[in-house]
Amino acid sequence: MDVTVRLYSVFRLKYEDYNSTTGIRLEIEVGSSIYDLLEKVEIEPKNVSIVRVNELIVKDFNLSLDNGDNVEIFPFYGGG
Amino acid sequence: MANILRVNMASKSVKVEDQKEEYQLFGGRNFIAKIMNDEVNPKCDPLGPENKLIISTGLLAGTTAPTSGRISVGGKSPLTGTVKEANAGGTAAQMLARLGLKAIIVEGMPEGNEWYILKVSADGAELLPGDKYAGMNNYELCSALQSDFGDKIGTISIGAAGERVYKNSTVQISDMSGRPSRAAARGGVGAIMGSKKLKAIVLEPAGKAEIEYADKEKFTGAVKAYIQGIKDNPLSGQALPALGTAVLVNGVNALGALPTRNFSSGNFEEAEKISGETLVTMQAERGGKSGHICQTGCPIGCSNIYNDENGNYLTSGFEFETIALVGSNCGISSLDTIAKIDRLCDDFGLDTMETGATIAVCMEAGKLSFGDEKGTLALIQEMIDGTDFGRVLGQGTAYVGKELGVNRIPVVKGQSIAGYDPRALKGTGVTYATSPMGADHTCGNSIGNPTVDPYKKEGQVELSTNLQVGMATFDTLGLCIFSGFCTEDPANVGHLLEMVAARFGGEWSVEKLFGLGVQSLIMEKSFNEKAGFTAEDNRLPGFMYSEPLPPTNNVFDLSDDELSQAIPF
Ligand code: SF4
Repeated sequence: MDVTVRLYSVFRLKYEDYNSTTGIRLEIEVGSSIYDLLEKVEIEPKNVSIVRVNELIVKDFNLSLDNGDNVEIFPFYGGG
Repeated sequence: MANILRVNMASKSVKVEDQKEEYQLFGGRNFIAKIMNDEVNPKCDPLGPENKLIISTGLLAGTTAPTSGRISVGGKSPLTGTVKEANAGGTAAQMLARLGLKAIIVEGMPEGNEWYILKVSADGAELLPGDKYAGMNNYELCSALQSDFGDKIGTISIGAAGERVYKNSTVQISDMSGRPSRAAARGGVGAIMGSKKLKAIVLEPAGKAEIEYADKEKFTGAVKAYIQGIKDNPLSGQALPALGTAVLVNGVNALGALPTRNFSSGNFEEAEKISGETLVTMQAERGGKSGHICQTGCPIGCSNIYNDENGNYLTSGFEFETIALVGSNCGISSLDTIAKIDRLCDDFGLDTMETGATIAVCMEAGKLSFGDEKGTLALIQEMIDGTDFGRVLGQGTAYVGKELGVNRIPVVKGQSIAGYDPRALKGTGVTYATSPMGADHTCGNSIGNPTVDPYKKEGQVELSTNLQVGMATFDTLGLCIFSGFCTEDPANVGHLLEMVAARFGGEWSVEKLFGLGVQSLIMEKSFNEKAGFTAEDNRLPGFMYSEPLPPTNNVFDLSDDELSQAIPF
């Protein structure tokens, strides 16, 4: 199945041709969790502040993803 | 020991005073608090002769400590009526240190309508006639001053907004290219300067700063280690240099705390368009710059140069707070329009945040619609032209909201809330409510704190208290608060302690270091109390307690009792 992954801040810097309109389309195995996805995009869970799936904040990274989900991954921020 | 320059605008006298021994550990924010308590009547008219304009370097100014060139500008705020310290980067603090000065205190008021400038050089300071500069805005003014005094000068100046004593007016500081793009923005400090008829301070370049160290070698070692700490921290080492503070747009939006359409939502559907990520890509194409530094020796470089669509310089130091308040909070999704407004504000001398909040309140009142870019530019032009309504707008969000009969006015102690809706970031909310400065995120912002849930009230009072003490300490040392992210690692607190001890000598503990911040807060609270403020003033606007903020539907739910436990000294 496919999900769309959107990366923010320093997570995006790794991908030079990142397209902010489309994000990254990734094929993952059925039943994959957010943890599995993070592993796939090489982001350590401890560096993640927020994950949103279809615009809703998800606290439990064990959640299994569905085909077509839009997953947004944010690092920690510091105050401006 | 560095000196203090006293300028009396009534007698037009200028006097260099040896710094009193007791002032040795006062700098930046706590120096302002000390002078305000010792010398200024808390009940005075902020725009009258009793108020003072205090410009102070921090305790580590003139040293090689990274980011130690912040300059604090303060007095009694015309906007809030509280004590005020607003600080900025740029070159002024380092130049003052080279001139052997710790601070400039401007007192009294001249009779008559003449304007003055203050010129400070290695040979001394003098007040000069300034009428030829009157009416100029900051960019034109800086060019004029550079052609009169040389292009190596540093400037501290006001635009026409400060001259007209607008309560949202700034004091602008020149950056390393001599552009007046760094703002001591909040609380109307520009109006204090304007009330004293001081149009600008010109700092001439001087030799090296002569700093006495208790242990120079140790100091240098600690600086090196601390710089490494800054670079190793993912925020100050990676995110800020690459993306600037605008990186916060997407993050704060995801949290549901991005002020949108006068604080009616925490999500802006067009956040990506005004994000740091978009800004950096667009500026790379236009020949702008990110990773720009505002002062010599900054190892972070959160600043930027923003070029317009033709590749010409438009503005610099273009920040998240401006984008949040002028952008999403007004429903505006064009970075170019927001940057244009940033430039107009720097030039004319307006706080971009107060300006954005004020315009959003006008939108709420139906004077124009959310997202109306032309209408927004027209209102700013009214402020610049000084039309009747333009002058009203210059009085700030609280005043304009009342004038237009708006119920939802996002201010605390008369100052507009910053780029984080406190219902979805409650630690920052506690700071807005209880800081002696009014709603000010730089006094203790809880964004990104991994230990406390931003939507819950538990732990927020303690978190805000710790942050407020930390920020007041950094503002006293004269360090940029972005150099402080690395202090989450105790080893870096150790290096900071070593620096301060090696500079000033004596025994230093963590308690003594952060005691500087505690002392600032105590003095500020005491000034405010004497000025007539009570615990009742430490509240967020009413609608934030009752109106759920979409999409998380949080309300601010810390009780008055709980708020009274913040900064309990
Ligand atoms: S981090 Fe940014 S604001 Fe702070 S000193 Fe460096 S460039 Fe200036």
